[in-house]
Amino acid sequence: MKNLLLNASVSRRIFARNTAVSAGAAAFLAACGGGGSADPAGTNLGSGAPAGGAGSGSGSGTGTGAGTGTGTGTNTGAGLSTSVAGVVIADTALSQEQAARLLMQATFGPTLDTVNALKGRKPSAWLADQMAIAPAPDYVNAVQARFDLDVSGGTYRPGNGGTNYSPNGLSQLFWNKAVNAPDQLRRRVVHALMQIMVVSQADSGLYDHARPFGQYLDNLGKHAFGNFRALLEDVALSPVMGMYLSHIRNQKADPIVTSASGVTKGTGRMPDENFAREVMQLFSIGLYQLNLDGSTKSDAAGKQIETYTNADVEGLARVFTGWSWDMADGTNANSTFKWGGPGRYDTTGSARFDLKPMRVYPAFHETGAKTFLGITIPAGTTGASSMRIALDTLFNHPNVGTFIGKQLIQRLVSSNPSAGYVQYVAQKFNDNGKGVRGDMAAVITAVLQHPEARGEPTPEAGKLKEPVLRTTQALRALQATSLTGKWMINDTSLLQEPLHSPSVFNFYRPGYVPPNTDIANRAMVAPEFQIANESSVANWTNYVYALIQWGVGWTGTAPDILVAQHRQQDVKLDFAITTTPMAQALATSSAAVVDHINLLLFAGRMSAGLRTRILDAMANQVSWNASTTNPANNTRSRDRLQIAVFIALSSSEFMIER
Amino acid sequence: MDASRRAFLHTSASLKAASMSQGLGASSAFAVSLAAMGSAAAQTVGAGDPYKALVCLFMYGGNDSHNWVLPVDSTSHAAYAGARGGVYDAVANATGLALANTGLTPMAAASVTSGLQFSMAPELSGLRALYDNGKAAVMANIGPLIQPTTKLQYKSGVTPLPPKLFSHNDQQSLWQSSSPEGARYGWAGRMGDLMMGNNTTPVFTSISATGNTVMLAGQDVVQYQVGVDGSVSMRGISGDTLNSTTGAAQLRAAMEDTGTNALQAEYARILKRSLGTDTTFKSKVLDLTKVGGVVNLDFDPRLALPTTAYTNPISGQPTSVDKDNLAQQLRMVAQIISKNTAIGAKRQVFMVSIGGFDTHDNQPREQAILMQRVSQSMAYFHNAISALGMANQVALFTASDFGRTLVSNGKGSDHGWGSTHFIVGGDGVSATGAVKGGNIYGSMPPAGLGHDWELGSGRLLPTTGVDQYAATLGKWYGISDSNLKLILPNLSNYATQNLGFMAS
Repeated sequence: MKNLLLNASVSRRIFARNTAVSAGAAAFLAACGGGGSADPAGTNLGSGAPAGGAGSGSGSGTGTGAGTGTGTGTNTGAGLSTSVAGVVIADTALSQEQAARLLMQATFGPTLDTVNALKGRKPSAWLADQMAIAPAPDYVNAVQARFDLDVSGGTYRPGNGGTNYSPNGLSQLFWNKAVNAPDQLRRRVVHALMQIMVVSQADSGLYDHARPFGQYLDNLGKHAFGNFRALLEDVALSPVMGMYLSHIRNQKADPIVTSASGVTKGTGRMPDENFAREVMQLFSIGLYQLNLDGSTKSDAAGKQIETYTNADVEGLARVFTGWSWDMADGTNANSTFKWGGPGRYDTTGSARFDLKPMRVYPAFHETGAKTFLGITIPAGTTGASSMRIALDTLFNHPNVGTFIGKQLIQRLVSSNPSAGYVQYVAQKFNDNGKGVRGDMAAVITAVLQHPEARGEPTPEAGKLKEPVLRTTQALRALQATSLTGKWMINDTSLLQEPLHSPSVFNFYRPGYVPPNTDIANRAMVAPEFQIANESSVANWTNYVYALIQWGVGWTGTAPDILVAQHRQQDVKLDFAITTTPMAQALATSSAAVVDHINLLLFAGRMSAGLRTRILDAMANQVSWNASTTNPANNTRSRDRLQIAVFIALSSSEFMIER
Repeated sequence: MDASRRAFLHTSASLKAASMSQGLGASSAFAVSLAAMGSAAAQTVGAGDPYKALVCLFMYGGNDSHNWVLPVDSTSHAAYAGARGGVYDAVANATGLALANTGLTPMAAASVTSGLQFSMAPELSGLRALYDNGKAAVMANIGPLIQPTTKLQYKSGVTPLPPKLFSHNDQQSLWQSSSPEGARYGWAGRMGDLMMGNNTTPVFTSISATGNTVMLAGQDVVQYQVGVDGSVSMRGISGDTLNSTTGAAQLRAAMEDTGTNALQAEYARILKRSLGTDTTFKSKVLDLTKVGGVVNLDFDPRLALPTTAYTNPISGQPTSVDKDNLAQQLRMVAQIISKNTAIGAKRQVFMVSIGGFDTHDNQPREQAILMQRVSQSMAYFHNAISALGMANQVALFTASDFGRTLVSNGKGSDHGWGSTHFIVGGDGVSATGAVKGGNIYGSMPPAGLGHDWELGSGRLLPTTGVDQYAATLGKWYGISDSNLKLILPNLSNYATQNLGFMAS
């Protein structure tokens, strides 16, 4: 297999740069430390021996010497036609329907063009093509372009006077790219990662920070086929994540100490534990020790084994102290730690330091020993080294491949993967076939090539389509257009507004069991059902109806919208255009229309019953319409296409992807 | 049917075994589960028994209740404030989390040890007025437990503990169901199971105004979800949809098709329930559709939301109760309660919620507005229910993921365990009413750090278990003692199964 060369190189510049401050930090904090060596030795990494071992990435000169195994990975092709643990990857040429199914799992929905392009090809070839499309900083560029609409006045920037500022451009760009961009696989993986390592614009504290929020999204794209270790680092050091999970400006402990003379000092303050807890519970290792296949390990008494205790959270929280915005070199001071920031993103913002990872401010970083997950970072270790050791420890925890891999399967393919499927993906995480751990390209390839993704679905296979994916599948298949070109979709009634998760626990949990259902009786999970209720399912039907009849997304009256485009629905389907593939199919027969819908919205698996219902509704038009003598009459044709699409998209069958 | 029932029993037992893995073996959990399945019997409400409702107000994120009911006697306050990094002052002490005790009137509380005094944050004035009038009770230091547990037992690990302590999603689930995430039914839903036979429209037994929640799910009863404006009607389900004479019928059939897999079947079931209940709801409870400028079936005028503006004392942000989503949820609940005769309901359980309580950051500023929202919404609800003449038939109680640390992280507090909660209801007079208010129930732990109920950083080991709280509410609601033990798996581990804050 050819070398896909997937951007897996790991940047170490952060650590290299910050190492310079470590000596000062150690000296300053000596009084607070718990003794021990000031030498930030990496010897405590013993418990986290790198599985990969090929890593050359940590040669930053920090002296910690812990090989992370993140490697400079080239790779992935290796697994494409091999067998791991008895799993045989067929990788055979795809039929039209098989192509549509892969495009449902790996893109924002099939189109006639993408199906035809994939038909007859092997999955491996398409995956290689998709992964070879280089990532671009689209989100940051989009925010910047909007800032630049009024360079001198600054009215498009946040803060005082920024009357035209809005952070909504990010979600609009999400829709735009989901519907139109060629690098569909990368964006679909970002959409999955964004539901695992959640930051959310629903947090009003992030309102002004659209540009670094865009950077967060661009970083997910940058690492989507790179290495998980580098991804984890950019997530942990993102100032947006810092604000969202409150480890930005987090300070070391300030214990209450009473001297021999009876003088009491200190406030008793403890480090904020928020990020330390969630990076373990949600972003890397989860709550229970796992076997490779996703089952939980048990102790001698048959009890599940928790991966960490609250003491581990408290220990790890000490690592995430002292981090804040990395303002221009030479201007960082202790006051910057507490009060500095991009403010209005105006003159100083032009330095774009908000796009840099957070940096450590030694005066606020805990230099006492930090004990968690069976290791101890000795007292006196710098913030940068502590961070690196902590992330290496998380990255090398045996749970990660299973914990993250299973969730990627759930986001892309199926809510209830078999143990063998989970194990196969986890093995690819642990070793991509070339000794590299954490190679996301190998993981994504494994998720999409496993027989459970490519073969005939079992009764337990599949998932409820997320509202976002239902919508993009419809918009792509039916060739929706945006009047403004901005894709101003902003619906909240479906309970999944992109980039607006209600909390770090995403719109739904990977282990959600809809209570009192047959799904529960079968011991299955169904995450997306957490947001399916009597109101939201009705709202979907109404959303489809609106899309068909009028379009969705209100243009409003913002100054960057042309006056002629004010106060209209932005995103529309046009059933009157006779050149669309569906309209041309109608010229053949109603059955040809249903075939078209079946291929693009059902991957060729529409039941005979649904087909009959749609054809019946198309055939029985109101008399004044049906009696129209001209068969090419646009009204009649439009109505027939509309009822077909309405029933198809509203059906319970469409909701489930298998 | 038999096969699926067996599968159900089997998986139920294994899930329960997982949830109780800290202590009880799988075999005993299996036995408990089988017993529960076998003998929890539906209950009949007598013809003369009045309608009753339980309403859960869930505060998502884990409420820092240390400031909701705080010690104000000088010794205790000093310990409390010392542990919180001092009294918060935006200028002089921005990292402190404590509230000052100046100007705070001590609460009357017959059950509190002599010498100790407690008061509520000034932002809780609405709730405080209910308390002073005997219409609100305070439940001290409560949280999920398997059995009564001392600090020594906690440290030594000899006593079984709830799993996944301090984890948001799991502790939310434990509060609601006695099991971590993945639980299949909650205790309010199980109360619904036992009582739904008394309701002529069973789908309106267990109602959420806040999305899907395990609390309201039963083994038989299915929770019904409703928005703050009522049920959502679907377009195109009648008439000549898109100029097709059969389109509406085919559309309905396509929506209700259960297909060949469990996922599609469940989606179809929700769609069918949505379609089926909308008509009833609109005709009997609420229909805000206007015909000729007139609302078809409006909110009861006695349930009007206050429009009086109030201000967040710290941010200066103006707001009012009628704009508050929590109050709007409670209005929807009150509207359904007001129509209990029309829909033939004798026993209902409800859930409303409010988020934003995970105050790791900006706690002093954010907590002030959260307190106002909860207090004013609860006060609104009690006033509205009282206006309906049903104060003695409805109990509103709070719940939350967990309490928080007493110690400050410089900006806020971190995940804890035990916390203070509130129960509102009753006319404040009648001995046979709902809530026996004006008192603090359970045991208020000593203030500050280093005492027998403090596990580090001011995380509280609960002195009362959620099962006891639920049982006290359930007893008032009319659930028999034997059924309470079946739906609350840990209840038998407690000597006190009725905490006494409800009339009986």
